[in-house]
Amino acid sequence: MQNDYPCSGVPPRIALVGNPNVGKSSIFNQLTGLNQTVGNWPGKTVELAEGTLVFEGTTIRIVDMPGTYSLSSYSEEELVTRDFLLSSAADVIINVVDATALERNLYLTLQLLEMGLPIILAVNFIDAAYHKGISFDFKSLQESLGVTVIPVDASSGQGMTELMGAAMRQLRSKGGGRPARPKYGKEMEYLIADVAKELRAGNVPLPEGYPIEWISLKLIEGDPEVMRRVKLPPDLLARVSEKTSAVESIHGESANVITASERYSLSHRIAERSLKPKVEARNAVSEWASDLLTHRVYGYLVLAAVLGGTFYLIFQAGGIISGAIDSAFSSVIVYLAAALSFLPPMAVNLLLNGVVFGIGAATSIALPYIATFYIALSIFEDTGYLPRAAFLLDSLMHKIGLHGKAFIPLLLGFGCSVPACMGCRIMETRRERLLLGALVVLIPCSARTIVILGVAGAYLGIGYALLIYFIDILLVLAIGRVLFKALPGESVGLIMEMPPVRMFKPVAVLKRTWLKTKDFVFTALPLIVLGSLAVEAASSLGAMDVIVNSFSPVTVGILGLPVATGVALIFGMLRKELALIMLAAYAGTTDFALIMSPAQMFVFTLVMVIYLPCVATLAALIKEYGARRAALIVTMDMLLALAVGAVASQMLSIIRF
Amino acid sequence: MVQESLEVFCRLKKALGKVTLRDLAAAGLDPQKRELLLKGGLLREIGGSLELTEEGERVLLTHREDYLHDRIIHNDGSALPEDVFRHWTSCHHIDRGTLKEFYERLKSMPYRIEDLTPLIDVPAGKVAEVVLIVGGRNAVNRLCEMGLTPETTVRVSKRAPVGGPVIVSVRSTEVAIGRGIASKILVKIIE
Repeated sequence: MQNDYPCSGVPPRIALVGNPNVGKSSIFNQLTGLNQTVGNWPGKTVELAEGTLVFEGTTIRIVDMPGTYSLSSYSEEELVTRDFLLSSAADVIINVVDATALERNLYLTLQLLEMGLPIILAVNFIDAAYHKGISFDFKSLQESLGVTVIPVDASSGQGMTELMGAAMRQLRSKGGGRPARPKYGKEMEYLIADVAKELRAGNVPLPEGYPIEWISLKLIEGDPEVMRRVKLPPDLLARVSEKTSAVESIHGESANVITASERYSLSHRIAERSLKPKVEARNAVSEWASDLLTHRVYGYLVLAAVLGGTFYLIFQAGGIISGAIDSAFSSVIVYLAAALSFLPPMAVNLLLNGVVFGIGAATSIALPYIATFYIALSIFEDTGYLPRAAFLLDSLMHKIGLHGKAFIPLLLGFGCSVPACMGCRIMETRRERLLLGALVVLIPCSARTIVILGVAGAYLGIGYALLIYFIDILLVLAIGRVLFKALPGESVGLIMEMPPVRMFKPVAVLKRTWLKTKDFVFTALPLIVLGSLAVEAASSLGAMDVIVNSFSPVTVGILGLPVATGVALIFGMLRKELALIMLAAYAGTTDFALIMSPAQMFVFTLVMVIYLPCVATLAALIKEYGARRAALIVTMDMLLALAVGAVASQMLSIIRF
Repeated sequence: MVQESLEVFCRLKKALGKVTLRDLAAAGLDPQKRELLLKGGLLREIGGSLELTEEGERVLLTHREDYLHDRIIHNDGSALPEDVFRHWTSCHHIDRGTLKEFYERLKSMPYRIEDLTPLIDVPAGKVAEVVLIVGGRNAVNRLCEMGLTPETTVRVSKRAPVGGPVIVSVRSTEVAIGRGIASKILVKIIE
């Protein structure tokens, strides 16, 4: 993403900014349809989705910024959003606010105004607010803030034309009509003016494009990022902090808390003026549902039923679809093999067993398991169930040094480790993210579940399959506990908004599922095809036996498994569920009872589940944590798998399983 | 008189688990005082062991808080009285560091510590005003951003089971706050 300014040839860019859960992404989807790509802000792991739209003959780019409550520099998302907006990367900013919680949403709006940014306010959920007994005086809101206010309904697309019309007017006016900075309490205003005067008098070089009052305010707040960028001479710094302390001692609070209070008292006044509350009406159904879902007894019962039911459905439906796709691809391979018989056999093998087989394997897991999982997840997200589950599981998560929100990536991990790794971003600190990242890769993803069901489940019985699942989850908790004690730093407590329980919109759910599945396929597919090609090349060159035999000290020596399982371990690095197919091909039989004893099957499944995450997960780990930390996590998994496998093997031989 | 006898009972209860009249006698309460305790309806017998009645609890609590208040008012302001510490650690499970911070900060504020309750101990359905938030800069900032600035009125809408977070309604939104953080927020219960 470049910081290009609007000029001929480069389409103008509109940024969508707002709190989480305000329907920002719905507006983004309404405007751009399925025309979206996800990119990274350079050097940061914050993803920005960008899409395009043609409005009145002009091509416009729209960026969906991560949802934030504030623009301080305490989280990466906030910092990225702030930098993006200040760097003039966006020509117009649309600030999406939730009509049912205007006061809280205006907190961010005020911060945007502090930065002197040209914003348009899109007020969403007007209907919900009306049902809550709130009606609006948009004119008053517009006058109080000094910006254009457009009521919208993101789910039906109402108000989108007006919104884009306002954005176009803003674009054409080219930065004209910058809104006035909001005015806070007297002491604070004097202080800001004072510090700004000092900055001017001291001729301090300031970063370009940053309003001087904003910089003054941030210096008063002690914003670490602004302190770093604006190099204040020591005497000036001392004067600023002296003046700040004087105001702090009047209020008895730190400057941060004072400015937050000032913003909130202003947003409270603005909200009071522009809202006309009727009788306090409550959404009885939503409140009843919320109450049930967080109930100290029924809440947990519902949680168990929801999770159990979801996994059961995913694997039932997934199995059927997956089987259908697999058999379709097998017949394609047979057909192609016949059609391509004029090519040399080696090329045919590479093409079919490498490329076509790879694509088949990727779709047969992506569509049935990943897509259905995303459908379930999107429903949980849209209905507001995820934060409620996180609320219930907060005390459990604290046992492993994390808080309730960590439950969300862990849940994702049951579908696929790749989105789970990315999902770790919701944690507030680097330490929490790393801790959680090390845990999510240990969660049995859908591919590993296939191995568990295909070996332990099919040959030893469902009880043993569940036992392996259970051992794995115990391991996750144990490792979490150990890492929590080992990693330096304090654990962070839970502060999480609980959005109201809402009904989901099937179309929106399917749209998001499609986008996420597409994303997964594009990340994983090239890796899988490349991997399949490499293995196919190795086996047709006769190198496979050599490689498999070189694994024997581990497979036979430590784990007590047959030599052939080396194949599965190698393929497991590519794709776990592929490992079984490859093992069958290598051993020349699909009846694993012929090559492994029950004890060996148990150990084999256990090792397959724990060791190395697949290539795609490895790529995600490197992207999120850097090569060094990713290597650490992977090494830990390898050692863990070996240790657990060896112990299990020894114990089983002692009890003569 | 009765209050002090009650204090003796509480100490015994904590040490022994089960307290009988004989234990009270052994602890040095004369028959007159024992009689007074029972007659005041403050203690009732359940299979030989003694329990606090509701009224007894109330009397005990008022007594303690008066006592604590006296200690704070007449304290020279240098150190935290030991019994204040004991009350807050046993009743509200607040650690010593947090309590010290509360105490230091409250010196310059027009509130008495005994009028305040940590947010985590506010019963569901009650409305309270945020008085003081202590703790790390990050946590305080995040709370302020979510709307829990000092002087804000919040309503506790739900308390999770043991060790879990609380949900509060603040500025028309609902926010879940973990136990650790919620015990560092002092509020004044309004209704």
